[in-house]
Amino acid sequence: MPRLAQRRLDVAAARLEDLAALRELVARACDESGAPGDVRDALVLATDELCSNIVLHGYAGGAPGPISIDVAIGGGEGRAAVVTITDAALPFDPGAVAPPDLDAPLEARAVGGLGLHLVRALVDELRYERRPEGNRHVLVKRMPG
Amino acid sequence: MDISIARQAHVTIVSVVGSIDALTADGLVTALLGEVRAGNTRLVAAFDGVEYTSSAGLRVLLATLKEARQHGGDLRLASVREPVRRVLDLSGFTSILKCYDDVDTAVQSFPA
Repeated sequence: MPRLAQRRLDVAAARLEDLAALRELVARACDESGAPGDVRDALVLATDELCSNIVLHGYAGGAPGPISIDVAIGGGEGRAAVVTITDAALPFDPGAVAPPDLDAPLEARAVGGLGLHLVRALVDELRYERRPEGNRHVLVKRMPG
Repeated sequence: MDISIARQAHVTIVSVVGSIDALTADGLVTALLGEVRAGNTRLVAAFDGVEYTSSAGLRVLLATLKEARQHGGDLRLASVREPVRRVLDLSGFTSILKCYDDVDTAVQSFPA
């Protein structure tokens, strides 16, 4: 049974250098709650993928912008770990990205879409909401009781 | 992330230590493609020291793999840790990229 844990990190001008700290926040919250290692690893990677996209694409061509992540484990969603990622970037709807072809021969393999594919494979739910101020992504991973 | 290069029996071993993410992937792709472009197309990436990779690392491996094979060589992995293995599996990379238990076996897998 996971213990309640909640952590938050606000990065004002997110750069790729901040990815390690964002991963660490998610890992710490998971460890604090006693969540299984595979849940922690999945959420750390999924968070990294989304935040990398925000830095590289969401704020592309402009100044680095904010990323906030909130990790809540065992709270309102019951036996679930929830990571909420908000930004003030260009619209980035994961539903609009085509999935990669994982069976294509090497020459035909594209590099696009791999990150989001991983996110979907790692978590139980990926929720996206566009707000006036930016994007809001929510990762939900259920845990054994 | 640290990268060191060694040669063994006409094979170049690129040993990586650290996490591979969108920040550190640039250094890795520079090192790997640098070797391919210098004519060292038989590559073993030794991943014993890699506990974590995101899709940024996968893109580096894919780009290197394509270019090495285009030039008659190959990129093979050695000593892949479980978390990295899972990511390779999830991404369908284990069907295109050969992985070996250790560096010696990976080196010997190349034809003489």
